[in-house]
Amino acid sequence: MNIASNAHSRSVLLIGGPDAGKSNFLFRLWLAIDQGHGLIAKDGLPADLDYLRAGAERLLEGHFAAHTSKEVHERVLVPVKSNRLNGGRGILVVPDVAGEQILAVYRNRQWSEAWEELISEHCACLIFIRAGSEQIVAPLDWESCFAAFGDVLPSTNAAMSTGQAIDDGRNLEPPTQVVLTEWLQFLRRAYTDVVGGSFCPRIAFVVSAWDAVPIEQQSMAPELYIRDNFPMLHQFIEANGEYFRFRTFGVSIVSGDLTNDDDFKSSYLSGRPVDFGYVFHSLSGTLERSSDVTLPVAWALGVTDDAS
Amino acid sequence: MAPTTCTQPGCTIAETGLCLLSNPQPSSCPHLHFPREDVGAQVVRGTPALETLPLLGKEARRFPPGLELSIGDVANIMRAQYAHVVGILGAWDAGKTCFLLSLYLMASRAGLPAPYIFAGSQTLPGFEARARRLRGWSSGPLPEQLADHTSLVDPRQPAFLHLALREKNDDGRLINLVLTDLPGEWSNNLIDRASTADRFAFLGRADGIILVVDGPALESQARHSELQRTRHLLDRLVHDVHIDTSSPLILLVSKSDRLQLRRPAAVDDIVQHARSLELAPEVVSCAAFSHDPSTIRNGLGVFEALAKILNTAADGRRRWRPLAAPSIDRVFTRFSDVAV
Repeated sequence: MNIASNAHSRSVLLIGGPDAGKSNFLFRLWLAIDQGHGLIAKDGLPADLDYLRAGAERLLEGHFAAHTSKEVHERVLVPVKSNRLNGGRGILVVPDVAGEQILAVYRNRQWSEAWEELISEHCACLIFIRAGSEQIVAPLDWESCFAAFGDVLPSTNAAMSTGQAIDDGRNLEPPTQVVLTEWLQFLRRAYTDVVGGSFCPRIAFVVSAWDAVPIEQQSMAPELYIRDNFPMLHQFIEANGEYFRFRTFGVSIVSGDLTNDDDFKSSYLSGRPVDFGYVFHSLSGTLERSSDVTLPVAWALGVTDDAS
Repeated sequence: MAPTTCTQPGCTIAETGLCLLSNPQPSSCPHLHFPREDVGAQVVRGTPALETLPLLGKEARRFPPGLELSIGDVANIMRAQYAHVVGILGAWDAGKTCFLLSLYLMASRAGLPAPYIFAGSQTLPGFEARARRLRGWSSGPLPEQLADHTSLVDPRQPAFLHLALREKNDDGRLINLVLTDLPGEWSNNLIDRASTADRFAFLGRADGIILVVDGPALESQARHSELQRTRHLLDRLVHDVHIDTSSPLILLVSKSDRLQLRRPAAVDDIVQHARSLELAPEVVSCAAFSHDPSTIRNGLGVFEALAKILNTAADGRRRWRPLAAPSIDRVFTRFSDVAV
């Protein structure tokens, strides 16, 4: 497949809760596409560059992207070409929305035209999880249920009979793995309705801030990070290989922490920012590190394939 | 607030709540138009005392609430795939909800026994809401905007939770588990009044029944009345609901951690009575939420009970059948017939 095998533009949905790293990835992706050394390169400047330019400049100045406003629903259109031999050209459409919107779709059980019109056979998804994010909500277990119920189990609890929530704080937030699993089920429904049940969309999991993963785990496959931290989601991925094509990438957009590590920030600013950043992946069947941060998008678009 | 309307000529859903196309979930009908100001209010009860964001743009696709499935929803699943329907019965406080939650927690923590792994659920919000004590049979009506999605507002219709499992082996079989979530009052009412037996008609299609009995209660001073209620419930199931006596029947002794897994003597009386009704009960000790997980693990007995039903279906009278087999249509017909 190449990105201009027909007249349609190719879209990549960025999905992830708050603080998952979607915007930072998008801006770093643009820097890589603009530089043109990766699998995907720009094919002229986008007609509307302000959103990408502002975000990329902030990154070049040594700052991560600010939290995306809840009202933001940017749709970035970038003319791109593949650097592969005989590669094609096309328009890459990437919406960028606040993570709260992703949660809202889970809660409200509906999405808008802005999502719906992108679902097609030319649409792939990147699902983001930021390693170590405080916004990640852990799965429930027996202990946390006991903590909620006290010694009184569900059917006997007074709150059960009144329908009142005792804990109205963070305990009510759905676990991150539940939200993402439900999103995959939503996507499957939508793809089946729009494209057909036999279509197998490409879904790339991006574990962002891979440099924040404990050092002894950084040489492990990113799939294992998902297995250890999001066990139900990992099993869903394992169990549904006939309905999706899944791959997992560990991505560090600048190879370090610009916010809390002054030494790193100095070395980043004194060097060439576009030389920072890497991707861990197993597309060849073994774990590799690549400096091409376009790789997750290139795989999602089918510009590059994998051994398995 | 503007009313919900439909673009289909002649549809009266705004006035009657009935979908012209007989959609079992009218709110998922693609022709339905929801007033813009309603959109932000579509919050699943209990999932979120958090800020609710309006959609950015016009609504284009609506997904089921996922709190539970109605009989119609289950019939839709069974049109495409075989589903193992398991009836979970028992008195109030016997431990039915804990059984369901413990199963969900196993799936949530990748703790299902091999070869089974979690493959999906159409009721993830339902499990989550129940785990947070935010959803129960006695918790009153749902918000109006969700009423058409659920059977809970209709006390005559059963509710189901769904869990899909994949066998991680050469077969790679996909198993749709559909588990009832019924109020204990249903069992009590059935004991008292044969006229309520029609509520349980769906058990005619069940792949198995798990009868939850309160283990500690069967060793307490209340054991005689507990025993009598359980015997009467079995009588009703056989004589009034007319369950298939060849179906697997699991006698689940709940809260067994409080008994150090000792089987109460009264359980043998229940087994004897069940056999006299030509049932073939199997007893499973269960600790859905163990008070001492260091010695008795959480979830003990939960999947073991289900496995007995799945294994019977796989190798016995109810051999698993491929999707397109004519028998499935027959099974589906039986199931949807009781949905009326």
